[in-house]
Amino acid sequence: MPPTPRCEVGLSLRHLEKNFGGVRALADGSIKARRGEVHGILGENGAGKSTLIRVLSGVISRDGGEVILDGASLRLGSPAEALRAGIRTVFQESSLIPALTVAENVFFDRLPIGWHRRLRIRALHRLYASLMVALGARWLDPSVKVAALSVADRQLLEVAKAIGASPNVLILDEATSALSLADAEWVLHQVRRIADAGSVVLFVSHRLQEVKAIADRVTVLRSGRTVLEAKLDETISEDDLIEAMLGRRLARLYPKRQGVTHSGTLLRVDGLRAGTKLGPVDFMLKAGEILGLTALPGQGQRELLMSLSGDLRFNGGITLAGRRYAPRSPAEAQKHGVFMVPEDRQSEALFLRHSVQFNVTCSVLPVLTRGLGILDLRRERAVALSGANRVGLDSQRLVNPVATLSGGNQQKTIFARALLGQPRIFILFDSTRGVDVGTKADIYRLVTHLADKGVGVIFYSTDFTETLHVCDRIMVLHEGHIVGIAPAEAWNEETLLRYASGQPLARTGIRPGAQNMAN
Amino acid sequence: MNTVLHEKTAPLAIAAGLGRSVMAAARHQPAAAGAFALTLMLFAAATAHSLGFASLSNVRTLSIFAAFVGLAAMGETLVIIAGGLDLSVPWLIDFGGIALSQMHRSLHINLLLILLAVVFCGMILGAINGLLVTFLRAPPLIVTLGVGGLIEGYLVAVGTLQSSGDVVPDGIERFANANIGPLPDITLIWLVLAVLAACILSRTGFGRRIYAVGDNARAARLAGIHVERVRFATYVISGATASLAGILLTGYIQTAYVGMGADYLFGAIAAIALGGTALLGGTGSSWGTVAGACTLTVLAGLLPVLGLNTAAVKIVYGAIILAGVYFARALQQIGDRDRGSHTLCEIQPAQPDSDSETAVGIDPSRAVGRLGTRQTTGLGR
Amino acid sequence: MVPLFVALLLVDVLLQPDILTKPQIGLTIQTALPLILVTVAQCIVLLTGGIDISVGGTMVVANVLTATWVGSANGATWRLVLVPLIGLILGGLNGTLVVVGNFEPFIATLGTWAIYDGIALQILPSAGGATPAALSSWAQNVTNLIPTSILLLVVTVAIWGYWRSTNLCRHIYSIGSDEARARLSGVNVRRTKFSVYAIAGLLAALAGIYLALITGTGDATIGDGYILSSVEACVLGGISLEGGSGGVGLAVAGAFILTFIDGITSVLVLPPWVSIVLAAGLLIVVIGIRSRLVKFS
Repeated sequence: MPPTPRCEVGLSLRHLEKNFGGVRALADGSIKARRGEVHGILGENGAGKSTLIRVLSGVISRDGGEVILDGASLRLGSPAEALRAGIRTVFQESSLIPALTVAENVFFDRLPIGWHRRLRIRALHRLYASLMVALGARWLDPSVKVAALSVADRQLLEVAKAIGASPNVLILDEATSALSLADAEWVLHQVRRIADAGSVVLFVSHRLQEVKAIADRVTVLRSGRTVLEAKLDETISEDDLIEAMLGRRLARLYPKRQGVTHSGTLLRVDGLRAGTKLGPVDFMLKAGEILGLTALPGQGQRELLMSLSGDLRFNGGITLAGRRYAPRSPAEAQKHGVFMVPEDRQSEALFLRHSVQFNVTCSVLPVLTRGLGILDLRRERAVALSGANRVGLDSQRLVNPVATLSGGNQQKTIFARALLGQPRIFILFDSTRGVDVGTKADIYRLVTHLADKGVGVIFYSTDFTETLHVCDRIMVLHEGHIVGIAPAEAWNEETLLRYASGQPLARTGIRPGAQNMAN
Repeated sequence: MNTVLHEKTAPLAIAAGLGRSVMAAARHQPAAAGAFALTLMLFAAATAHSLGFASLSNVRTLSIFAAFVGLAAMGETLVIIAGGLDLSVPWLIDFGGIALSQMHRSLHINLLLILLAVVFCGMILGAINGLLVTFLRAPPLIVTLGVGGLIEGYLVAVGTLQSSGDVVPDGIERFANANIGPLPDITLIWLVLAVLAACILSRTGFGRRIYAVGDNARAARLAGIHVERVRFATYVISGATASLAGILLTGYIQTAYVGMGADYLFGAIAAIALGGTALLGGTGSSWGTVAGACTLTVLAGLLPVLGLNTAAVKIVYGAIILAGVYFARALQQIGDRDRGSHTLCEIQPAQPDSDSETAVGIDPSRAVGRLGTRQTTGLGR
Repeated sequence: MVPLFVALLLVDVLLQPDILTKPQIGLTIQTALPLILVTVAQCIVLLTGGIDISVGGTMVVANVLTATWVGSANGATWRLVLVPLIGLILGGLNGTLVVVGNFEPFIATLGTWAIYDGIALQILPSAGGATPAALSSWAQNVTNLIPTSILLLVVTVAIWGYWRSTNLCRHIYSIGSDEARARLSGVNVRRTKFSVYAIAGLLAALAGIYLALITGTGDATIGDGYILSSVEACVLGGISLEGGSGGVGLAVAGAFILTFIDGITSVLVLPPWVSIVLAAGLLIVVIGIRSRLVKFS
């Protein structure tokens, strides 16, 4: 790296635009990132952060605007092109290839090629060892396939891979979301070191605290536009940043639940184990209660929610309204009134080639058929309309292909489908991720309304703020076990993070285990 | 007076009504309409070249050949829409023909019973396909190929009837060569079944589930659909239609032998693809396959008329498959766009405000979804 | 898969002890080599998650060209060098359809298969023609110091061993394993896929040439049997149809297994259906065992 004067603008994005099928994901993304500084990018989920990052790393091509690195305009037609320009990205979803080993992944584009395979691998492992020692990173076996690593290890490796290439521009997209506190600290330390060496560093996160701790300067995106760019010092308050992110004051986003009355126990989980990651866990859910669940990625929450919704076989006892509950499929779970809104809209919930109506009614087809399985189309229309009305989905939209809808309306479609089944237990699997603020508010209202009517709600979210505001009780999962369960008032964002990282502190007053279960 | 007037205007009204519904259908199934249009153009070209092409007898013959392709492809259309593939179709056709002859020789029972028994056996073979695909979770391409091999082995083992036309039941022979009104029996059966298949796909809960399973099996399962049952049923139906095609083919060519279905291995798939059904599942229609079968048959009839030899016929055949699939896709995309979707053609589901999930062919969030699915499967589901 | 391979080899050896003599080994490999080459072609395509139906077509084009264009005149033998290039071009056309035309590999290669088959039929409507005599006798020779077929197999294995350590190979596995991530990591997905189809065309052409040389004639209809057999051999060898897993070496073992089954049934004078049922049954059993293993791992 040639000695570059600090604080000189290294990377400048001018009015980036990106449309997906006529809908604007990025309308005016502008950033001026200086060398030697860590530049934070803040924004709600869905504000256009990831789109911006994807444009910058060549994953998607931009529709307009300019990317200028050290005075030269970049085309960025493919990820390979971005890599050649020295832009390294730590992707939220990890770009590591599961079929290859740890060392092969880290040195993927600069493998030591020799004639003889064995020699080359030894050289590779030497390179790997010297890199990891130089970085002071946690040691991972170089010859293990990445497929065998945990989510946290993968994220760590992804960071090591990017930093190890001494990038000209380093981009971190939610790089610490799955990491324990110690690993996250290591990442932040490395980020600072790379910035000090004169690289451009973009640090994307939705965790305000983290950005405040590491970044020197921040850009806030909202609805695809840059709404604020500022130096992070005393003059700017946290509330200013939040208001810039949300476009409104926080307090108005969450509904107030009045007169919470929980009747009898609806669901009792005893010694539930599933897969290799989960269990045993015990908890119970009352009718009319919103039970929050939060955890870092890959802590067994998927196994827990999938077991409850009938997708995964489990060991242990679950009783639903006093009767044994052991669904063999989601279909059977739904017969018992247990409905889930899956995590990934596109791969787990939507039939993208079909209309909204098709997507809404596909779970209630048996009620819509007359003799010989023939559909009553008029009835289907009426049912779809009632479903759309319940979630506030424009009824004109019913005939449109679901793929043309915005993320928020797609999510509403899935909610409409689940609500038509008359749920007794309603499970949300990180359902507010990637939807706009308006839809979020709608979802909070809907969930509260359901709970008021006696439905038991399990609300899993990775967003601590909303978990704290929406739920009656919150439990935290770490390495497959419930490490804390207590009324929402007893938690705050810091304690949630500490428990989720597996480092609960005694002084918080919340002791792990199920003793607070009785609420 | 009134009646006279009525009689005069009635054909017009019917024609207008027909035209309207054809237009509506064309809007709904642009690829099928495109394939039909292609068929008509090829037919017109052939007729312009030699008038005899449009003679009633030639059209009848063509319609019978189209019926064989169409029947072979009918069940497979459902299989493919549900996201599967059935390569055992040619051997199921062999089986239909040979089983018919065998049963006729050894069992002296009513012909109708024999027919039912053969179709039932075909369904059982389809069920074996279905069971292996759903419970072994093995790729359908390999499983159905393996089952096809087993059927072939069995047929060769029980002793083939090399061109023993005398064993083909007279009844089926007469039926296969007779006409009802202007249409041959075989064509009529095909069209009736095609209408039935179209109704199943568009008007029943089962049809909905087929589309859902083919579009996104994971989502279908989580939405409470029994994915395995739906897939299983499509293979059973494919077994039924393919063995029926074998029965009728045997009646028509008055012989049964191992290998008589060989042409339908890729022919059926080509017809399905020409009709706008994506081989990856989730979209398509019975009418598309009917149209595709017509296109292929007219093409196969036209090329020799034009004086092309077998080699040239093959080349044109391949080129038409590629061009047809290309245009079917283009038409389907235009249709989607008309209904308000620009996104499908770019394979980019709209993600206006989604940050954490993008769309594009290169879609990391989907990759993660896939990963998640794999993990859960690995967990013993 | 290896135990099965060894078991079948042992059965074969027990049935005909003289198989272990050099000419017999040479002959066995000679029988297996065309399928091996096509299997390797199919294998690399399957590893990217695609499929190539047209290998049969490319193979017969090369086959009939060798028996006519190359063998037609005495001075024309040098043309043999061009035949693999033609295979490369035909494969490249597949690659173009898949990469640029966005065709599903199955449909694209289904269409080109018909086209290539037609071209071969046009060149040589019925089996016949003649290959260069000197080359043919070299290819057929099993009594040399090293029989030609063994030599060629060794060359194939050596090239594969080298190829395995190239970046192209790693990129192929990456694409098959996870196309999106491969692209994120800087793999040129389109170029790699294109190369894979082109190389598959080259290998299929080599198989066609070799088959023409050992039989001394050309035949435009021999290709069809190799299409599904090559997929079968790959599956027997543990290649996943979803791409990204399995090795070329095991696929070659799969090709040998199919050859052994044929060999054993013909030695025992078993009726033809036995080998059909054996091959098909084996396929289902292998798939069954593998999916069970995946389930419980």
